[in-house]
Amino acid sequence: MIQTLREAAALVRDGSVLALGGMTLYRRPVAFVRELLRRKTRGLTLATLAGGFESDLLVGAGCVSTVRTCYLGLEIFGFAPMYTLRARELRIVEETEATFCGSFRGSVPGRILRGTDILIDRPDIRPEGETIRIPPIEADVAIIHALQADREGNARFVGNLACDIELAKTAKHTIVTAERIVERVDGPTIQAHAVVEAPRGSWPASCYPDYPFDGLELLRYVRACREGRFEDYLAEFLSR
Amino acid sequence: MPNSSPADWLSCAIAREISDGETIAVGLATTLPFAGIMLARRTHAPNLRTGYVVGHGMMNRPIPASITWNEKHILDRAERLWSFSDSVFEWLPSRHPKEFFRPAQIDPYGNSNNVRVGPIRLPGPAGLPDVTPYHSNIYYYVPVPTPKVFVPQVEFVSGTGLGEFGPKRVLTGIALFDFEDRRMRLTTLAPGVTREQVLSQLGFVPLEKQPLEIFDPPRAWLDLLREIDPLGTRELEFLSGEDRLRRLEEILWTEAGAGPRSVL
Repeated sequence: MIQTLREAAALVRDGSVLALGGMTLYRRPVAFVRELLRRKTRGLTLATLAGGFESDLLVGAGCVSTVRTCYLGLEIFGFAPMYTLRARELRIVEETEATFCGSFRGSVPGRILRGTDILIDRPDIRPEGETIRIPPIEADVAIIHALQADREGNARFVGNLACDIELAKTAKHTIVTAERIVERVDGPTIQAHAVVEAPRGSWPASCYPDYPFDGLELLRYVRACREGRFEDYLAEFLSR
Repeated sequence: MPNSSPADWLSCAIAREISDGETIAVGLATTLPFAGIMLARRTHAPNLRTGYVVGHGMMNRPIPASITWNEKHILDRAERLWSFSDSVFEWLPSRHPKEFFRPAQIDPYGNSNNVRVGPIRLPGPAGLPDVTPYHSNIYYYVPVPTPKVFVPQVEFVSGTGLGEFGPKRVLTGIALFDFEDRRMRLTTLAPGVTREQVLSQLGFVPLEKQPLEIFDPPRAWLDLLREIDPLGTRELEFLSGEDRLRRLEEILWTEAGAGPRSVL
């Protein structure tokens, strides 16, 4: 059940549908993404409620062919620089908060999306009377970063739930990376197929309550990209 | 208005749109509305109910303005935590919270776009396509109005404009607008700003209310803003490029030295 990052990352193959848990700058599986970047996994469909630093790295390194998200950016730190630069090379499936969350329940109320161009961009989304049918995302692998996990695959996290519970239930494989492996995680949790210990595994995103996001590192990333030095930043990030 | 910036003025204009007892949704990276919301709470709206996208936490008490510690302030004190689906499918449809959104483009009919402009990819529509078709508690804010933001027609409708529902107001750092007969209408100027100055910053001609109001925020509100947001996080939304990064860096260093601020 307990694996190394290297073992777990091998589950993600070229062309996989990869779902990332957490949201924007909060509780993101960054350590796992670093391993994918080392492996140079290609052709990924990246599905995440709202992407941040980790998604921008994957896009910048050429690992991603399709993006499914309702937001990919760095919040107050600005646009996600590589996503902004490379968007034209990507297939972008325009998600909204409700289409992403609704993909796990099959439909959403019919009054949303009406009159927006989302319905033009998404021919797979069909209004049917009072509801709008949303096809499932069908992730091959979901990666969720948690505060604690045990060797049985139970995981605990606090706050910023995003769609992590739904992702863990619906993905073919769910991998939890955790700040700490503990003897036993009590209470309702998510159940993972594999657990990886990854202390500070969300850095430079946050893992509440252990650490906030590292704004100075995010600034360093944004500045490197603005100066056309993404490759340098990436090489340094991979050597950590 | 001694010692006040456009960010101060817009924060006050936002606070003025908030009534006591209302429910407010606080979005991602919206430091300017945050200051306005906290100002309203400290003045005329002490019983606000607030839901934060960060953490998906509900909290009816004030929290300090912060970049680094915003998530901690919310999650430490949240009275209730939701899953994201719960907030999208239960809280938003039942409460119709007031929310202040920042559009990349907006047209005279109140349609907004956060998806793409020409070849430029924007971060994405987030929840705007979900709430705009059936809420009328939508407010837009544009710190610095330009003809690139105020366009005759948006290139992608990610927020729907005026139909049965639609946005209430559009608030900027120099002027405020509402909607009349399904068209944007200039209603209010900041002190010292002329209507010609405002019109030159728009890519279309809005309707105009007669006479135009001059909004001069109370001195006490400006003093309170300094207490609520002493590091000036609200100013970040008026800056771009390296100016913004530099200011952000100063704030981050200050916060790294100070740790999380105590509860107000």
